[in-house]
Amino acid sequence: MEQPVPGDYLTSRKKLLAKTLDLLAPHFSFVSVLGADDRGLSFFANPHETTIGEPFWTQRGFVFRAQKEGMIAEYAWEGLDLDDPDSLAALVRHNLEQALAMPGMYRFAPLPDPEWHASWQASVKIDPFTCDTAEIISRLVDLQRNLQQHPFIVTAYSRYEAVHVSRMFLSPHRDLFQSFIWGQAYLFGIARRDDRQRLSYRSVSGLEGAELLDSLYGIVPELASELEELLDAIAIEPGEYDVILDPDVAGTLAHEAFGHGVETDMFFKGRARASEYLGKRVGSDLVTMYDGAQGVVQTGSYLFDDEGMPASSTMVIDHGMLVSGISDALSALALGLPATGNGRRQAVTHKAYARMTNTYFAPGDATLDSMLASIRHGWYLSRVNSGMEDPRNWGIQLLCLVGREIRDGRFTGRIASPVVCSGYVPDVLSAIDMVSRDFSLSGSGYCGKGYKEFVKVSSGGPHVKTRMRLG
Amino acid sequence: MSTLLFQFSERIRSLLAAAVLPDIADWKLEIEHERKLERYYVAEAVEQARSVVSLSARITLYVDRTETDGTRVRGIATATLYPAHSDEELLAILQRTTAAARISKNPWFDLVEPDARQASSAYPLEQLERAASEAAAINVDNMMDAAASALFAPARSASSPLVRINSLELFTSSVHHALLNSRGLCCTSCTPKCSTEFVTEARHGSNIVELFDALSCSAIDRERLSKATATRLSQVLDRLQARPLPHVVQLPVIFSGREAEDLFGWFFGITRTNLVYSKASPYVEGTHIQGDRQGNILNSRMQAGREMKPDLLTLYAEPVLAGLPQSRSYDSDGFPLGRTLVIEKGVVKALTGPVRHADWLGVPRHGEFQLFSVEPGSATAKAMCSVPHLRPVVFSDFSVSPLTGDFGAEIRLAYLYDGTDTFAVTGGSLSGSLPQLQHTMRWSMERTIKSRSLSPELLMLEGVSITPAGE
Repeated sequence: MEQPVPGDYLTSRKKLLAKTLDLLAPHFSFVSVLGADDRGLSFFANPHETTIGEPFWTQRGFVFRAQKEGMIAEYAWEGLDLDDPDSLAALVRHNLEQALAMPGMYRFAPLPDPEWHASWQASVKIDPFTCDTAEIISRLVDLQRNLQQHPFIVTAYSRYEAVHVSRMFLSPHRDLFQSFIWGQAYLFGIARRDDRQRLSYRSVSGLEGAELLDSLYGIVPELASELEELLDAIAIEPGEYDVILDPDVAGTLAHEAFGHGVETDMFFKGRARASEYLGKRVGSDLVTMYDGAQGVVQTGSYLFDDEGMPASSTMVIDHGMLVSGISDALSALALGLPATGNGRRQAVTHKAYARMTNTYFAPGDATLDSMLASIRHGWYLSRVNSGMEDPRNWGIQLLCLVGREIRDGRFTGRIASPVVCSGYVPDVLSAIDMVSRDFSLSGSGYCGKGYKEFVKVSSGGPHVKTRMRLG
Repeated sequence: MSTLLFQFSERIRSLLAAAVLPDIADWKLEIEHERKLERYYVAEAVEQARSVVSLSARITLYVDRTETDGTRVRGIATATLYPAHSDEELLAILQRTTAAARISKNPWFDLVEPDARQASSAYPLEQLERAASEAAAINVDNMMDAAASALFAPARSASSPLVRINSLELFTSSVHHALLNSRGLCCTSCTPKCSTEFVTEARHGSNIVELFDALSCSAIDRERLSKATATRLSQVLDRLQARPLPHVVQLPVIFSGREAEDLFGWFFGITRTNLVYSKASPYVEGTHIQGDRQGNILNSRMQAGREMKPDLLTLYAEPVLAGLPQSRSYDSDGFPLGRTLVIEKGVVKALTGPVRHADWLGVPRHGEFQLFSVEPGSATAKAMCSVPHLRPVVFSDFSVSPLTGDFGAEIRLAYLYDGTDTFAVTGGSLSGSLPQLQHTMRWSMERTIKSRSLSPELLMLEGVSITPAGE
C-alpha cells in the first residue's frame, strides 16, 4: 500500500489562514475556515474516441463561516488567492458583515467549537495520479471493445474517475486535515434490435486507487448476456408484488426512504415527518439501518465533515424503531440534537446541509435461495437507475433497469425494463419479511438534495424482500 | 471585478507561449468568473446568507501524431486551472495534460477558426475588456431583493390561510465567460442569472403536504417568478384534498411544464452528433423520427371510431431564448450558433452537437446547443383537455432515458378528468417508452418558455402505463 502525497497548497496557506482567523475573531463570536484542494482524473473510452480530463468533483478554495449575535453567514471563493492576511481579513470581514446585515436573519445558539486536533491520510495500492496513465486508458479501451464485439451491442463505453480529496479545517479550537483517494469505474453497453434499444451497466467504487479497475474484469460476459435479455424485456403489468431488492436497490431504498427522511435540516424546516416518529415503529423487526462516514469504508467515508465535526456511524432504525436523525451542525444546534458529522457540501462554494454518507440496511440471516423460494409470484429487481425521496409525505420512487420475474420460487426467464417502483415508506419497510446475510456497498453514484447539491455517497446492504407497487 | 478574468487569461496565454511544450498542436481555453449571492429562507426568516466568488479556467490541449498507416490522429486532454495555482504548478499541469493528450487517440479534427474581425491580434483584448465592464455592471444585490419580493408576494396575499412557502433558496449571480483558442478565436458572454428552489406547504390539522419547484431566469422576471410560487401554492392546496389515483384504463395522459419539455427534449437529444457518431442513436439525417422503419409517417389511426392524427414534430435548436440563462451565441468549441432546423414534420433535417463529431460523421457543423423550440400543435389546450384524461403536474422525479426514451415517475399531484368532473389525485406512477408511443403524440397550439425551451404548454400521449396508488 502507498500513501499518496497530498499537494502542499493547503499546508502552505495554513499560517495565512490562521492569522486571518485571528484578525477576524474580535469582530465575530465564532469564525472558521474550511479549505479544499481536491484534484481529479477522468478517463473515458468509447468507439474511436478516448479523452482524459477531470471529473466534476475537483476544486481549490476556501469558505469562511462566521457567527455574530446568533446570525450565520459564509463567504466562499474558489480559485482566487491572496498572500496578505490583513487584506484577506478585510475582504472576508466586508463580505460576511454585508451578509449579516440582512434583515430577518435567524438567530442560532452559539456554535460549539470543541477542542480537536487530528489528521488522517489514507493509503491505496496504486496511486492513479502517479501510475502509468497509458495503462489505464488501455484497460478501458479493452473493456469497451470486448463488450462491443457482441453483435447486438451497438455501442459501449467505459470510464474511470479518481479524486484525491484534501481538506483542512481551522477554527480557534480545531485544527484538522484529511487526505484520501476515492475512485469509480463504469462499463456501459447499449443493445439494439429493430426499434428496441436497451442499456445496462456495471460499476465499481471505493476508497481505492487504480487497482479498482481489476474488479471490472470478468464482468463483460455477464453484462452482454443481460443486454441480450433486455432486448426481449416486457413492460410490467402494473400492480403490487412481492419483490426481492438486490443490495444496490435495497441500499437506494434505505437512502431515499429513511436517509433523506432523517436529515435533520429537514426537521428544522418542518419538512420531515420522521421528526414526529423518533422512538416509534417505522418498519418490521428485521429493519436495522445505519448511516455513517465511519463504520464502513466506501466513497462516503471521511474523518471530519465540511463543518469540522467528527464523522460517526449513526444507527437510524433499530429493529424497526426510528432512533436517530443525521445532522449538520446548524440544524443540530437549532434542534438541540447531537451533531453526527453529516454536514457536507458539494464544494466550498456551496452551503453545508445534513447529508448522507454510507447508508445501508444491516444484514439478516436469510439466504437469497430461501427468499426466492418464499415467492409465489414476484420480481427480483436490480440495476437501480435513480430514486427520489419525499420526506414530508413518505412516498418513494425507485427506477430499476432490470426486473426478473419469479414464479413458484424460480426465475421464469421473463425480464421487465424499466420498472418504476413506488409505495408508502412505512408500508414498504413494514412489509420487509426477509433480509439476507450477504452484504455489499456501492458508491458509484451520487446524492442530490432535491435536484442539486451533489455529494459522493455509497449505499447498499443485504438482499431485502418486501412488497412494492410496480409499473 | 472581471478584470480578474482578463488578467488570468493573459497569464495562461503567456505561459502557453513561453512554455516548452513542443507537442501541443492547438489549445482551447474557457474561463468563467462568477459572483453570487445566496439566501436560504426557512418560512420568511433567512437561515443563512452567503456570498461566493469563483474564477477557474479549463484548458484543453490537442496533440497530433501520424499512425504507421499514415492516418493522422489527435489526442485530447483537459485540466482545470485556478489563479491560486503558482506559475510552477500551472506549468506542471500543462506538462501533465500534454502527456495525457499524447495517449488519447481520436480521428483528427480541426478547431473553430475565428472570423476575419476576430483574427486581428487586438481583438481578444478589446473583447475581454468590454465584457469585463459589462459583467461589473450587473448588480446582484438589487437582483436578490427584487427576486425575493416577487417570489414571496403570492404567499403574502394568499387567499387560503392553509398554504405557505415552507422554505426557499435564492441565488443571484453575474457570470462572465470567455473562450479563446490557439487560432485567435475569442468569444465572451456576460449573463445575469437568478435561480430559485422552493417548497410550498399546505396543512389542515395534522395533515401536511408539500410540493417542490425550481426555476432559473437570465433577468429578474417578476411575473414569471410570482407565477411560479402562485401556481405551486394553488396546487399544494389541491394536493391536500387529493384522493389516491384510482385504477384507470386507456386514459390519455396530458403532460405539461418541465415533463412535457423533457419528452420533447428527448428528440433534441437523440439528434446530437456525439450520440449518432457513437451509434447510441440511430437517428441520422433523413430519418423519419415519427415513422415506421420503411420511412412511412404514421400519420393517422382509428380510435374509438374516430380518426386520430398525431402532430408531426418540427423542432429548432435555438442559441438564444428570451429569459433563459443558457442563451449564448457560441458553443463550447466557440462555434457561432444560429437558429437551426433539426426536425421538420417528423423528419431529421440536421444533427447538432460537438463539431468534431459532425466532422467525423461527415455532416455539416451546426454547433452544440443548450436550447430548443417546438412549433405549435394542431389543437388548443382547451380542446385537448375536453376529453377524459389524466394530467399529472408534479412528479417525484420524472426522468426520460436519453438513450432509450423510456420514461417513468411516481405522481405527487395530477388532475383526473372523467368527462364531467375534475379531481385532484395523488400517488401511483406512470411509465412508457417514447419510441413506442410517439405516434400518438399531440400537443397544444399554446407555447411557453420553460427551463430550456419554448415549447407547447401541453403534450398528450396515449398508451402510457398507469399504476394506481395503493389504498
